[in-house]
Amino acid sequence: MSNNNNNNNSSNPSEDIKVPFNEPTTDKEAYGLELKHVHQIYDVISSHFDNTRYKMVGAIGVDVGCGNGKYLNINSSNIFSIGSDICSSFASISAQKGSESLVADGLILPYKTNSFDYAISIAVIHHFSTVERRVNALREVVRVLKPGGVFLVTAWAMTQKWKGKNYDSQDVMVPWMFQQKFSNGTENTTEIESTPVQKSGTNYQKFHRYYHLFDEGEFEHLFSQVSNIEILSNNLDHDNYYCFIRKLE
Amino acid sequence: MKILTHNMMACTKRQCVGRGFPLLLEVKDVSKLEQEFNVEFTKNIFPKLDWKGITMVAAQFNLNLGPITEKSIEDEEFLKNLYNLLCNVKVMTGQLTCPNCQRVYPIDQGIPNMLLKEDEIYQDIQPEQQQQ
Repeated sequence: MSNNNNNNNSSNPSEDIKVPFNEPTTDKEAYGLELKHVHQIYDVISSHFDNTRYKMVGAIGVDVGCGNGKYLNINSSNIFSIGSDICSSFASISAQKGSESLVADGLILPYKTNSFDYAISIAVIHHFSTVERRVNALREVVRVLKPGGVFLVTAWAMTQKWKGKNYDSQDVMVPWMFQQKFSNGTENTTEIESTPVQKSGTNYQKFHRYYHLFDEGEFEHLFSQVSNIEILSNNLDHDNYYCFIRKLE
Repeated sequence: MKILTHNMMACTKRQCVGRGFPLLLEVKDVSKLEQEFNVEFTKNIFPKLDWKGITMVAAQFNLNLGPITEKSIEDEEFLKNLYNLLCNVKVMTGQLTCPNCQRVYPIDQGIPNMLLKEDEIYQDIQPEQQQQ
């Protein structure tokens, strides 16, 4: 008796309606099916559909660690992106491309709380050298995001099958071979360690950039320490983890 | 720094979170842009704006937007003036001052420098984090 009641209560009437799918045998039949079940339905629901999609026009977002600003000018007449980088010469390069850019520390962003529709941080979080700083960097982006706002964050992966590289440790120094012709006069600052290298007749200065390479599940682990978010996806592609999250309403 | 950027900004000091805006703006040099007015964009950003910041900046540029009401969003002339203020005025040189702690941030070549000095970071952040 009680079982029956439970079954009745849990059954959802909308699930009871099963529209049979008969695979079309001719192209004309297929045309008829698409007309009835695709085209004509969208004719009716298009305006409702539009209302349920994410509104891009007038979206305001941030790019944390914008580098040379390559993501800042996308659809810039309809969306407003502000880039920041701790490196002032990157901020200048972005600004010269006409982007909104400022110099700021990712751990203390110069924005109001609950302000942005979206945020991206592409290949930045792996430059923070402790777990605490990586978690705090994620928290800081989430702070400035609006409830319901989305955040895409990527980091280099420990597995580098695509590039065919192997690293022994998750915390590594990755060399950058600097060519003198790009000098802006700052490379000889005494605090920066570098070694001169000659390769195929060209002189380079070898710099060592710090990276923390991400393991499988590492974004999940970091975000478990950030409140008020849900992870929408985390995928490995071309040696990078791409983690997409949403700030809860 | 466009005025729309200014509208989203705040002081970076931890003690100023929730209080460090709108940043007081001092302008030395401005560049005028000529981006085409986008009505849908302006209508959609309308509800996201901090009007205290806008009124403050508009007054500095001697721009009278008129009274701002719920109906302003339907007033195309108002939206056009608003768009021009937010997206077509770029502050190239000047400075921003926090209304809470009076920290001054310089703007040079259109770029606000919001970095704190090392001693400021450790003076302001560490004690607060330890309290949590």
